[in-house]
Amino acid sequence: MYKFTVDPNYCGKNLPGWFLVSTYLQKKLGEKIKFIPYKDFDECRNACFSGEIDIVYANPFDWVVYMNELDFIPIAKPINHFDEVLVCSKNIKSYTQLTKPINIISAHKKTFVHMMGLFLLEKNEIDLESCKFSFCGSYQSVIKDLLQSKFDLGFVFNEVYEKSSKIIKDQLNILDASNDGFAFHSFCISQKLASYQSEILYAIENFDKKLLNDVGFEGFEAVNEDEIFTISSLASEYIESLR
Amino acid sequence: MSVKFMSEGWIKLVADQWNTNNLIIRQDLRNFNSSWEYYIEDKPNLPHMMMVCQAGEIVFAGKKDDRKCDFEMWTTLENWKKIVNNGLSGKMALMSRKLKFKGSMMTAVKYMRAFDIHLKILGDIPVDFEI
Repeated sequence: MYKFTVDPNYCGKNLPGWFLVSTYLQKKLGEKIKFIPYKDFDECRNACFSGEIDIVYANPFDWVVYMNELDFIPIAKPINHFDEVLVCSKNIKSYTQLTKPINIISAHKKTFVHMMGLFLLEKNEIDLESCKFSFCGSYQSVIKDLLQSKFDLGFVFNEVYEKSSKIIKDQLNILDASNDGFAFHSFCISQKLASYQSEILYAIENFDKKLLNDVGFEGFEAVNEDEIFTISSLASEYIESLR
Repeated sequence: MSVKFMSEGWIKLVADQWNTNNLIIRQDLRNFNSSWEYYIEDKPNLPHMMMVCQAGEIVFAGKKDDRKCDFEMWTTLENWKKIVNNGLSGKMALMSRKLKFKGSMMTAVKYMRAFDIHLKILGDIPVDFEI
């Protein structure tokens, strides 16, 4: 049996769609595949590193790490869909209203969303020394903590924000948003599934409309070597900066 | 009248265009101090060109001198033509590796909008590729 998981930001309402992806892949490969969701980044990463996972739909930071350290193969990415960050607040509408220290909630330091959030603060001349960061493990928790007014700002993953209800969106002010169209999630497979690579890619590229709708994407396409090189360079540099 | 691509005349026009016509780039890069060089991979005998940026303004544009650059950008003449003529975005140039890049990728991503405009400026200067 092979085990499949997704980035923990998908533990919300589109989770049933990912169960259907698992069932679909099982049918296409003719192999038993079990879907296991994790509630936060550390749990998900630990599962991958302990060898439990064979297919993962991972964020760009993680797929580079899995590729470099576990020999996972990134194979497919969403079409026209990139990781972006929104800097949100419940009580503040502009950076000029901030007072020091600035309390910021983020899902995890080891994500591109966090990295891009830092870029936006720096570009707005926010002194990072005056910021106090807290990490809550998932993007849903970032939104929850913001709504409870526990923090001045939060780094929210665009996809999670977009899938939030109107009630939630109405309570959050977006102070800033990245629009780089650069980093992307990717399906990755372990070496145990390497011999199935082309079949899995074909299956993912041919999700039907309903399945795509259930997981909220317009389609998936192969990741090419140049993209892998570029995102890897970015991730390696960011990892190095965290040391 | 066009200038020879990757010549001193060309790099000075790029710098003028940067400094006079691009408020967005200068706004985005108001805290950006850096230097970079360009060259053509398959024309090894041609000099490399260099620009130095201080607080968003180009303060030097000319032949590469002894100063160490923070970034290098190079590719074949054919790919330079594609980048310059087709208005390739910064993201596409990097992702497709049509433009080879050495330096901080984090900085490139952080200033992606400025990087895009910078590539557009290269395309705004009429050039002669017969070099």
